[in-house]
Amino acid sequence: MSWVRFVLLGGVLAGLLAGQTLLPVGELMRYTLDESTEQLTRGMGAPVQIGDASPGYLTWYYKTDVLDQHDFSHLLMFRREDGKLVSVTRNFHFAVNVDALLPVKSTQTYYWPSETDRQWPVRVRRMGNDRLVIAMGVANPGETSTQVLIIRRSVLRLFLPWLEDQLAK
Amino acid sequence: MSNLNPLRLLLLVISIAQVGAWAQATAPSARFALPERLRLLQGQYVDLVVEVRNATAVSNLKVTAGAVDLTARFAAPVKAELDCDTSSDFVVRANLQSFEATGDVELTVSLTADGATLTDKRTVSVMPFAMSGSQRRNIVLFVGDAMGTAYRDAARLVSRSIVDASGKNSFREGYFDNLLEMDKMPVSGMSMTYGTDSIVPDSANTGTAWASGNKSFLNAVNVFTDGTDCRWRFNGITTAATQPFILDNPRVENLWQYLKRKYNYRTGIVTTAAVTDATPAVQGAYSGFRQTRLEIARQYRENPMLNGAPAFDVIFGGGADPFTAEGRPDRRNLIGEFQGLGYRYVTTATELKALQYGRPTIGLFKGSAVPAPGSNGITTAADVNMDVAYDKLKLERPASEPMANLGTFTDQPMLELMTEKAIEILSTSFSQSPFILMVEAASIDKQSHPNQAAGTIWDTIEMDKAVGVARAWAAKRTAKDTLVVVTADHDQSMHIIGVSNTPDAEYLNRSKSTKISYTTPAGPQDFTVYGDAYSNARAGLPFINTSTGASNNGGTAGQPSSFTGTSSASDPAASTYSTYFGSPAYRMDAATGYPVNTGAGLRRLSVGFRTGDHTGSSVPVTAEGPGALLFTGYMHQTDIFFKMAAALSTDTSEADKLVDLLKSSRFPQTVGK
Repeated sequence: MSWVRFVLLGGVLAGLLAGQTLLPVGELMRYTLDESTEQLTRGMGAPVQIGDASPGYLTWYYKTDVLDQHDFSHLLMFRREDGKLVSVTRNFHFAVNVDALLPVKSTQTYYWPSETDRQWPVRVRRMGNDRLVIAMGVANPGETSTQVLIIRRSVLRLFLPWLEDQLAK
Repeated sequence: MSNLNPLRLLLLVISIAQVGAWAQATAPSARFALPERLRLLQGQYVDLVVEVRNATAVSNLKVTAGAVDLTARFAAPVKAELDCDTSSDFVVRANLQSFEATGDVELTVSLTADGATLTDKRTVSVMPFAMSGSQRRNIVLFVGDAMGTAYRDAARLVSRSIVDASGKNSFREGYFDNLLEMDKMPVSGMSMTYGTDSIVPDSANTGTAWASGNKSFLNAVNVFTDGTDCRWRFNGITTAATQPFILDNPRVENLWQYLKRKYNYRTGIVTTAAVTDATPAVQGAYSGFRQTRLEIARQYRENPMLNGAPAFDVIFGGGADPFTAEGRPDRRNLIGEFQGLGYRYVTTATELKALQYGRPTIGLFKGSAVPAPGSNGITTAADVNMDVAYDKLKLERPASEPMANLGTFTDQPMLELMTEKAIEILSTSFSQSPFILMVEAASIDKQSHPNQAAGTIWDTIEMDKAVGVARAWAAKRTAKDTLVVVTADHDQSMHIIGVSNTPDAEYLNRSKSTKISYTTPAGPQDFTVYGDAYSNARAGLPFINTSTGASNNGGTAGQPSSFTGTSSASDPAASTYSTYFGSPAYRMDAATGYPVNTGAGLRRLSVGFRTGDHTGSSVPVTAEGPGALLFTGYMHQTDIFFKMAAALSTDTSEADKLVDLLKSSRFPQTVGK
């Protein structure tokens, strides 16, 4: 067992002992962002809503588990220009332990609005294939979050420019 | 094309429809971030925002409203990033503007961007509003959250089908001896609830409609869409980092702030939800996203339309967390700040009962044991609503609904007490100011989402009792100066099926159930069915009815996904208790004034749910008091705002006489009314 796996397992065990709900690693990591709409509907079924109010983007909304009635469990955003899946946002009604998505070795904490003015944290995992995994509102392993996001790094500046500025350093 | 599934086809069609827009996207353009049919009251605040796209510089701004030049009210153009693309954009805004001239006003903008002259215009309908003479009227608006016609029907069938000691049912031969309080109101209409982006709305954009007079998008609290919504609305990233874009949308003032600001009205909200939930929020806050609970609570304390003064004189409900220092990242103790301004603070029904009229009051009757900020930076970790009427009354829940758990909050007031005290406080100010109060029965909706019939029906009955409190108070007034309006923000999918004579032994039995599974394209769907299913047919399940007496019911063999194959020995579906026929029969608890839901010989109302979510059906509106006749007929939900305003500001005596005439013995009267 590598030390990375050991640390990850330790975090998972600590989360279990703390009574946290642990997010399965496959929950978000299965998205490559290269999926076709056919692949997505085969895997997830039809979205409950399709939002077309944005000039540049189209969103598929899902409710796959019990949430606050006005939140969606998954928001899949497509770029209209080429139909590519740009991001998948996963919401949880109750905060979950997201350590399984964020191995310590490849994860770093950043702060909004800036490193020197640390008002609110995110943990970011850099992945291959132009992808980032971002856990909202957590600074350290073992903390819980109500939202995780997988997004193309190439569009990060359009949505979270403060984070792109810090990642680029 | 042969392998295009319908969703892909839709994506393609929508994309093609945008091609025209993209082709022009590189040319500079300017537009007001305002709806096509902007309607305002005279003097009602609205943010005027001009978005300039694909420009590197903006100059020569000129904005006019009819003959009035508004240009000087606009701040300098600010660089912006609209639509989440790479273009260079600007925003020019003038906050909190209003129109004094009434009628249709043409709002125009002209500016120069990169050498091109750009223009846009809107026609703004400005409705007159001026308090006439000594007329000072009050409004009590009741909002049954999701209280469509079936919900009102269910409350009536349960609370007005009462068997007395002699066995006489107050609902006989299809007539009620006594209708609901809201049934007795003389004027009825229907409200269409569509939002700007969806025919199935939520409580935020429907609340925006009736509170501010304008339609908007899902989750919007008194704001319009703008070019930065892509930062959060379409990708769902709703956090502290995107909150600046959630809060920058053009705002439109609601009636509560308008009346307080211009006419010194006293204002109040009463709800069984957390007080920062969407329906109460539309009376006191402005945000693109209803779940910005911390900001909504702050705006109650420091309202932007009132130059930082508090929005309300009375706030009653649940959801204490965002008002506590522990629940807020900024550690502000908003309860303490209110108290510092002279507000009283109560947390139990006992304390509420003991209140005397007078000073502004906050009552927060439920919260977390340990409040904490949420990880997203814009909410608290929990949004704690008050417990539902069914549980406050200590009625035993049917088997499929969760057991009551009031925790340490065992002394929560019923909605009728909150309504009574709110009216008492608001109506007895030193200044003798009139008041406007919204009362919400929130858990009609919240219990309907998980298809909990008992919870939702008893909450509707609770709401009707609160309506009775307001009607009785208004009727006692020497001056007939109080308009009572009852409506819903949107509908939900409950419908009336019939009655069930399932005995308590099955209705309450949590140890006897049947598992049902079926496979869908998204995977297996698993359900557990209890014996109360005859009274509560949940969404996703086959309708359980073994009767073959009705032509549209084929019995267990005739329904899709029927119970064929389940064990009749333990299967509630194999019971023969269900029936379409007969009338409900409940008993009244004299101590509480509410029907009880257990006991031998009950025939319970059977309801079914098609979904666990809102629907796009129109909802009823009923009204009583001065100006009530305005609420007749089919109307847009935004009309409710303007009708309330008209009832306050115009002489409605001729219309009021007509309503009185209809109530006279010259015309047929409704049985039970």
